[in-house]
Amino acid sequence: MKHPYLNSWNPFDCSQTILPFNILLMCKLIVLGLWFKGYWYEFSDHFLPFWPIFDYLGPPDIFQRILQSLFIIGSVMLLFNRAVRSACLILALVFLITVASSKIMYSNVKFFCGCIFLLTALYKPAENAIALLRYQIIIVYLGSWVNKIFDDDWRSGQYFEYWMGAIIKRETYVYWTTLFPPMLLSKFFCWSAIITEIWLTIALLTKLLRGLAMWTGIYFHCLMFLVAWYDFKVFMIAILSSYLIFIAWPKDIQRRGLFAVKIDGQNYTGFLAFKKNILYSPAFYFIAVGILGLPHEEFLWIKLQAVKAALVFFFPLPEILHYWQQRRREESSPVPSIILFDGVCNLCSGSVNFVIRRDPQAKFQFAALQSGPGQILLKNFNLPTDEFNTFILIEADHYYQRSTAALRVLKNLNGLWPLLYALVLVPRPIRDFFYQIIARNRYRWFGKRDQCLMPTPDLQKRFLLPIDD
Amino acid sequence: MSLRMMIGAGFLVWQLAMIVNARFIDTKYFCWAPHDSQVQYELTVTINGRELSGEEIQNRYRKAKRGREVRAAGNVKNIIEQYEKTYGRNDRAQVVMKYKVNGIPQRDWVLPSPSPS
Repeated sequence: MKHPYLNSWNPFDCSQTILPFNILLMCKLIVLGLWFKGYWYEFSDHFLPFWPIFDYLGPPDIFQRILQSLFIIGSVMLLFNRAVRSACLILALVFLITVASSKIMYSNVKFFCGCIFLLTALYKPAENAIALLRYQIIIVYLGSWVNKIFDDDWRSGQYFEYWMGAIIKRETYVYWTTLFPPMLLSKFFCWSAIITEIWLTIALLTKLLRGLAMWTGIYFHCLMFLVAWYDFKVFMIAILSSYLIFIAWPKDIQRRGLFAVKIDGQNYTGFLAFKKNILYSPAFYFIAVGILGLPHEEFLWIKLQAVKAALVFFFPLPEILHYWQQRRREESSPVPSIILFDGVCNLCSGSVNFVIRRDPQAKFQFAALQSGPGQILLKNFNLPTDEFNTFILIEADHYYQRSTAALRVLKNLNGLWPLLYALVLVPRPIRDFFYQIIARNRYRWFGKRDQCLMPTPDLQKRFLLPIDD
Repeated sequence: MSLRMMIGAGFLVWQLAMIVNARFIDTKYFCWAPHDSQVQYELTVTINGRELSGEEIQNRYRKAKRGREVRAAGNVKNIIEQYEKTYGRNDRAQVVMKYKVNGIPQRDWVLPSPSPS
């Protein structure tokens, strides 16, 4: 990272600041959406605030002008990569003060923007700060379905029936309702929304399901737009932009034409490369926000066609096929995974024997964390070489720790043990919490050896030994 | 955990508490209830025996005489109630709100509430 004052002024460049690429891009897209939708008019004076203190914040018109000015300053700073965390803090204050200082001006969109900008302003490298942003999105979906599922009108379908039939008056919908028993279609839509939001809450929490959840969420919001012809002002732009925090933006992208690209060492060709070329271009997102931000009534047709085209074009079938092909390649030429374990811990040694007995195909090899090979592998993966509180599973060029490592080992054992892999659906912090309790007490509960586990001669080939052995 | 993380985590926990709190109150603020309800209402406001026009109601509450609220009927009531208890407490306004929630007519809401006989 360069000095903040030497950052690029190019709004499309999100790579040179303290914020990760995807987070900065998300913030810029939200700001652009707010500008396109004319949100500088949405900062009102203080009127009927949530807390009376806001009534004493000076003359209302000056208060309003200050908020508008801060919004302009914060968004320009953000777009041009100047002190981006401070810019986010300014924007967060603008939005949170706006919603807190006027019940009339309260809206979920403004509160959402305030939350996102605040949590981004709190971002600190080397801490798991991105998790806070992810939890924010999950809380939005959680609140959304909790509010719906306790509402009689949502459970009965009355809400959707009235909204579509009487408020926004979609003729197609009204026609379709005549083909089904009364309320059936509206109940279907209401419950689809509730179930989708429950699914998003759970799946976005789970690393394994996150990719699927992202696509579900994108299709959910886009289909809602196509059905209702309503984009909930800037909310659709904001929530879709926020999905960027669930993806890891590649560190190295080498474009070799439209249909060939190398991303983080992996080559892609053909249509998949074309899609990746587009998906990993900030300009694409700027254009998308520009289209969604067009005046709603005048450009509705263009927006609907653009969303339809995007849903077809980005349908993730090539990604799924690529993933399965890769899996099949890996399975046809398996490379043994390596388990690094605490060599002086009785529980860990017992676990190694447990795995060996249930792994006749020798999918796993072993090394003590304290041994020469163990220390080399730890250094290769930039892991601490003097902490032995977790065992580590190395699969090709990836490593896993704590409960995730344990579950991935169980997945590859004989018998019914792979069924336990379903526990991976439990959010990692919860799994790791229980793992840590056992790890911290393992010596006290199971005892400790004076020296590292030495494999018997018949098991020696399953253990990584120092080169000079 | 650093102070930054603690502030962020505290902010998220507060939102969770607001989601739970919303189950027990009529208003829906800070609880992520987007477009959960379609409330159509009509306000009648009388001060000293004179009924306010639509424009006067708009200027008073910044709410239309006939309007729509997409979160909860309680939000409209809460806004009017707060206005009448603070900025407009000397006017002794009488407010009647006729409203429908998702197309279903509800009992009129009256401010000040009629005293129990």
